[in-house]
Amino acid sequence: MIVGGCATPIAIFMLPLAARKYPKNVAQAAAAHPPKE
Amino acid sequence: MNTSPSPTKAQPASSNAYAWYVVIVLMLCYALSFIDRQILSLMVEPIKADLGLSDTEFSLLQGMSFAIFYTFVGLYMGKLADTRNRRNLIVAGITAWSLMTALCGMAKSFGHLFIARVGVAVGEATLSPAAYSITGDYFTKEKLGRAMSTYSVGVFLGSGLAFVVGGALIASIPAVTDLPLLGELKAWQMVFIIVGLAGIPFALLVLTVREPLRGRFSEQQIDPEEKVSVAKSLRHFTLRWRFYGPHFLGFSMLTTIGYAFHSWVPAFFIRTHGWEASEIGISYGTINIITAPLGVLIGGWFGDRLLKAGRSDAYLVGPIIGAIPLWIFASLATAPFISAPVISLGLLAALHFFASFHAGMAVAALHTATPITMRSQATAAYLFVINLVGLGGGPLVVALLTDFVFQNEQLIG
Repeated sequence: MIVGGCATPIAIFMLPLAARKYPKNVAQAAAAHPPKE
Repeated sequence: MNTSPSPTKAQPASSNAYAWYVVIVLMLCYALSFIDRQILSLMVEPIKADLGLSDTEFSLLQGMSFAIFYTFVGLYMGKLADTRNRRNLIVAGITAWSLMTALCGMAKSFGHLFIARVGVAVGEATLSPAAYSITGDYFTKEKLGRAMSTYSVGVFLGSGLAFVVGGALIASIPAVTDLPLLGELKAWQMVFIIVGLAGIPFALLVLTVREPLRGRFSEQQIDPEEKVSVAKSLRHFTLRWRFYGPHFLGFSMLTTIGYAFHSWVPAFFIRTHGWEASEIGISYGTINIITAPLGVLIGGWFGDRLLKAGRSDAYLVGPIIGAIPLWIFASLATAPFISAPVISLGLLAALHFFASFHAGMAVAALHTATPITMRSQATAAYLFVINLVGLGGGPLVVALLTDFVFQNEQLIG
């Protein structure tokens, strides 16, 4: 089906964009609360 | 219901076996939710005949009555799961959706059935945001991919079992049953009542799950009294749209493929290969029950291996790697030059393995990149988007391509 042929490349394009910002978000999530002692 | 998580920092660490027990109990509840949600589609003709419904009215019962309330109420349930006792929230949800499923069996009109279906949707909306959050608090990040994937197996198990359990029940129940107080009930009504009441033991089973300390394996320290408003969470997500946008959209696209094929593969085999509905139903159903859970479990294991190998972005790299074979199989499975139906079925088996490969990793990536106090809301927003785009868009785009681009029913989009 053409949907599969078109939707997958969009995902393959989008997910690396998310991966690029992922470490920053992990760090910000950790910074949202002070670290445990 | 408690207003904050009850466990304290002194809560003893759970054993590994208990953590897996918890995720398997939650996975079974997820499967139950899919049985209650989808069993309606097995009883189209008797319900239409008894209640005098049109196809459009029935499609509203299947889709809109459920999807709108499930997705929107899910956003609010995400907020509750971030601030309240999640175990109790799930127990209340299962009890509510089970009773509403049983009530579907008492419906005497379209309106009654519509309201009962809305009730099922509202009850089910409590489950996933809370269950993903509890799962995240029972496993260290090294096992998160496998844990989230195990919970996600519930979708595929429940979807398959809905047909198997529903079919067996319909075959074994007499056309009319006379019950005290309720009077004469048709077979479809009894199916709803039996399946609905079967949910109560599941609610009791969840009572054996201990509410874990929120963020117990996280390096973050949280104040149990801290309340995060929906507005604050929305601000957090929109300010970080460069992560959440591509994450939601990318995984929505992968979800769309599964839904599109689920909806149209039976029609493809009937129209193109001249198969009977029962033939393709059994073949395709069996493929789905086996390959999709296998894909999601191996996907979770693969993500954890990547993380162990030093890829900190493993839960996003894993799905990208899985998307490449998915692209190939999705393009080939129903291509016009594949003339042998058995080859199509083989390609579809591979397709559904890779179409579910990302499911656990997607939530693991979301959880690790979101502050603890917003995780359930992030999960609810994620489920909202993938259900809206995947379930709403996938089957529709295929139909639009068939009707308006190819203008040929043999060339299913």
